[in-house]
Amino acid sequence: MTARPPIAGMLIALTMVLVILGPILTVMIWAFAEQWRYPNLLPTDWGLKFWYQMLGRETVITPILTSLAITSISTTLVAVICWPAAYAFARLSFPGRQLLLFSFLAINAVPKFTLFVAIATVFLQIGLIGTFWGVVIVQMLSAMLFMIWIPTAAFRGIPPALEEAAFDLGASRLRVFLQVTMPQALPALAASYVLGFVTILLRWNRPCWLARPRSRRCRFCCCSFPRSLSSSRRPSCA
Amino acid sequence: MLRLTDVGKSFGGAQAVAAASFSVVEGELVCLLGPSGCGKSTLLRMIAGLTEPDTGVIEIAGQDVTTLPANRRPTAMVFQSHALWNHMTVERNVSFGLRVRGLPRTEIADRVAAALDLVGLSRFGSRRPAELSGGQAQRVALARCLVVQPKVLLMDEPFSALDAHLRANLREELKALQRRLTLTVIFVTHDQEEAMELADRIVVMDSGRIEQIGRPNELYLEPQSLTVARFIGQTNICETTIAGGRADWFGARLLTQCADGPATILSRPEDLVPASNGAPARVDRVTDLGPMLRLHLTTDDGGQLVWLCPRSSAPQTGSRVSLVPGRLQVYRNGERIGTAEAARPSTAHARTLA
Repeated sequence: MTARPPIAGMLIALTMVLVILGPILTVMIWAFAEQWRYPNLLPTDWGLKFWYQMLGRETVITPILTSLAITSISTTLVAVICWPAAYAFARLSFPGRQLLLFSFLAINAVPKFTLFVAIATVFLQIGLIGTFWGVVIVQMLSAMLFMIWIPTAAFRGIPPALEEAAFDLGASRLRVFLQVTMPQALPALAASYVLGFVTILLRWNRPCWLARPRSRRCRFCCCSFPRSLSSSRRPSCA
Repeated sequence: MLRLTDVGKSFGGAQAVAAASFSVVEGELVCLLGPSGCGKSTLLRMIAGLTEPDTGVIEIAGQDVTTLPANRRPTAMVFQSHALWNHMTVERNVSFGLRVRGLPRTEIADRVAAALDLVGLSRFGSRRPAELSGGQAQRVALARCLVVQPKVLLMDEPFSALDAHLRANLREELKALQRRLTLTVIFVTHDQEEAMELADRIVVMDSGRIEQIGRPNELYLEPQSLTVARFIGQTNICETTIAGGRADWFGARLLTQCADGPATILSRPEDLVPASNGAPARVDRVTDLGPMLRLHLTTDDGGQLVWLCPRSSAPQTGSRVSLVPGRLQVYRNGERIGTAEAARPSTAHARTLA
């Protein structure tokens, strides 16, 4: 039997590329198209006109920067808190370990609104309502699930002997963690960071419920920019 | 060089190691031998400092290290899984212990080169561990330990994941290296052949207890307990009773100095010899081992015997033989109480022969 070229496989691959990259490609083209009308396959006018229009508005650029700042700070803080915690979940055995690990799922199991009412009560008492750090703390909750569960699984997958070998050769616990454990877990840690970042960036509705009624984050302006869209999804506090 | 005194460890009520005491002199290779779960690895980890003992004292080179963590003990351990770090090159793996100690860069380079040369992997410095074979990886793991010049080198079943041929080669290499560098080595294994070949002395462990400590030939020729006898080499076991200095061995008569009472008599398969007054038996099965043949026999009173016999004098399957043991060990309640020997042919019989 002679080997045939895997035509079926190539067809499937091609379809996948079209389905996945097609829409993204359209968006990319639209971003730089100034005029693109029907029968033309490609835009007739290219340019950055809409970029200037969009970024030229004070109501757009500030929310974007605020959004990115809040998201970066929240995600990094979550990583600093959750990665060592994940390491503890993976390596140490202490009473209530499983329960505690599952409690991070619980954040996503209960209706958010009840959770935020409770948080708002606490925030009111300690004066965090309407502050930058109030938003950061609330946003951190969104990313906790990824930042605990993915790194815990990653740390569990690292054979303890790898760490013991380094410790045995004279390295301190911190050095073992930084030079042996972290590099081994790096792909998973990076994935959890990206997922956490994206989750926080997209969870725009949480802070508006309680933390900063006047805040303008990126997603609000995206919704309100084309007026036609804002009528269907009214950003109540933007 | 290394002394353990009453070192013990329990895990949640289960005794893993019970009051282990022994010492190792400089340049000695000692094997911890025992079935899996006997506590030998736990004992090794306690010497390394990776597991904290509940009781006892561990001294290395005269210094009490019992409470020191692993990173401050003058030991280095080779793991069964080689435990190389895949994100570093072979060179970085080997230099890790020296970098931790903050040595100058030139000295690190020299010592890493020397260590890799010692294990015959000079040209592999820039490789990644994933690109090495199992034997090479274990050699790198050994170099990684040797480079820090540990007072005691610990090895936890380092060759058990490798195939038999490679294992034999590495054993020889290790033994030669150990002699040349006069390394003090504690080597954990469950393979009695490996222990017999490598060790200057063997510590036999079972269910957390040390059964016997001795040179390989001592353990083989005079095992102090049934457990050791069964674990090291093959044995023929005969449950019998001693009365008036005599005992019955599958129909043959034995003479012994041991006190009267029930006894277990052990003999090695190669120690059986044909004799006119021996235990009558029939050959059930013959296995060809190459230099020797292994014969499985059933005695007339239903006992099972294994006989290792030279190719030239081997009987056929189904034929009848009469055997006595040339060398015997007598046990009571699992402990060795003495020896016995086969009775000479009776005087009447001897006279007729004359």
